[in-house]
Amino acid sequence: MKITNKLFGALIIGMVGITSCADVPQTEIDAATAAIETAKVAGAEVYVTEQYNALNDSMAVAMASLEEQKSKFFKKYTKTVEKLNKVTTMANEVSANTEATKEAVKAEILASMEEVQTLVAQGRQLITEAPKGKEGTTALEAIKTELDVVEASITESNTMFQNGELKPSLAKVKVAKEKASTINTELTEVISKYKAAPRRK
Amino acid sequence: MKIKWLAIALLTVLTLIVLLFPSFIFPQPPLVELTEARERLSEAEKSQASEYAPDLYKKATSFYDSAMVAWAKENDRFFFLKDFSITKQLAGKASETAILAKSTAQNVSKKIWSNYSKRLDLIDDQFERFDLKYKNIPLNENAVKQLAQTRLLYHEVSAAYENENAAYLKENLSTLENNLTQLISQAETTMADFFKDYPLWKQWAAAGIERSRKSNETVFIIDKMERLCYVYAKGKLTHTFNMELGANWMGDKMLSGDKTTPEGVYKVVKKKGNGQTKYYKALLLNYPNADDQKRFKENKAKGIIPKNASIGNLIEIHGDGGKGLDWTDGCVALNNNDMDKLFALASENTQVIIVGALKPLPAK
Repeated sequence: MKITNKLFGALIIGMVGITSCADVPQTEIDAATAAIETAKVAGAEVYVTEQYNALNDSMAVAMASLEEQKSKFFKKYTKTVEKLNKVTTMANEVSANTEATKEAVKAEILASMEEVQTLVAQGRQLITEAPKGKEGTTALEAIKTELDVVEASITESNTMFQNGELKPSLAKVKVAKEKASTINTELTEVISKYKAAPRRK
Repeated sequence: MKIKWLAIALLTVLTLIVLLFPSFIFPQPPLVELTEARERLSEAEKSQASEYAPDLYKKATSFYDSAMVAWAKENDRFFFLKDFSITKQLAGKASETAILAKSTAQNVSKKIWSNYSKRLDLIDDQFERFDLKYKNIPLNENAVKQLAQTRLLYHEVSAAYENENAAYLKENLSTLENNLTQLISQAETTMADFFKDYPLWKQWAAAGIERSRKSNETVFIIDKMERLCYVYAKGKLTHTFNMELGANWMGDKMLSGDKTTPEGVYKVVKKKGNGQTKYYKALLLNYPNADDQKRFKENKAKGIIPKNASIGNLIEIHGDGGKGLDWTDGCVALNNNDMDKLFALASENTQVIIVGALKPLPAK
């Protein structure tokens, strides 16, 4: 009887021992969570939305895998750790992609701003080249106002840029560029039409 | 002794069953349901449910999170006592709600974008009509600026629509609509004000044509609105010429330097050939006539125009036109070929009727 009790006791201790031998990979969980947070702070949600969503999906899968192991009689976190490490790597990549995208957007904004400023300067130059005096003044004044509005739009875009609102800043400057370009075309047409009109015979 | 060994054997078998097939003995977590919930949530997010069905999406996420919490809670319990029924139930609810969130988001998104599309089409149409009807309306500095800003905003909103930037559209589409409505309203008021003399214009034009018919005379009728100069001979329309006006062409001339082309019944007082005018030929009109002088005095007395203002003179029909814009100081300008023809048709005392418009104010 004594042997049976001892054997039963040993079995229970053994089972408890076996079932609780694996530790929860807390370090990996923390690392993955921190990496995701870093990606979020970098703006991944805005600049690489799909990648960021995929990252969150992967983290959810990893956490489910963790709980799955915790539910098991024999816990083994090897695959969970692999998943979590993958999430960390992926999060680091997403962060890097976010930064790269942001840099690309910044470069595009700055280049576009320069282009718009050049176009506005060209427009202003065209206005000075337009015939002096009363003729055509109203039309040219209207175009000058349009150029003023485009210039104000660049200032707004720059403020957005300084505040880190890169996407809205880019959208604004792109439209400003298009508009400035159209104005210059119209301006050139108005001037050439004026110049082409017959003068005194 | 036999019983003892039987107990040991039984215990061993039980232990082996537990070790080899734990899932037959202990409750298992609802992995399928949880995986499905995650997938449904991911699909809902891809359908932008967080934007177009935020409440449902939030609810679905909350169900999933609760399922995970319940799962973790059960995992902390001794394995014989684990019960995953709540986890399963919550995972199921998360799936159902995520499916609903996805379909709702798709429907809402479709409706919202269709609405944006219709509103932008309307704005497009309004701008087109505005340019068609009011392009030549002289605007003050503020209105010019407002129009330029509204046009730029329109381009920004259109770009946002192309790029599916719902947040920008939500924030700016109404502002664009309001600005455009305001501009149209201002233009309509200006037009209505301009057309208040329409019955008089109609009367002048009819009398001029009748005079041409009865007296076999040539009469010029100038329609400011249409930028057209009509020539009537013996009561019949013989020629139509395009022409240009003063920059501030709307309304009747009030004083010197207002760049407005006067409205009234005039006559040619002098035919100026080349060398007699700085333009390519000119027909000098008898502006100011008696009516103009009377009105000028009245306006001065009423304080509408400054006391030291002068009425102006030298209103002509001349050449050098064809620039495609209103540029004169109040004269009527034709291109040189047309001016040659008109000059030949004119003689001193030829009647020149200048009206705001021959057609009535177009309906809204």
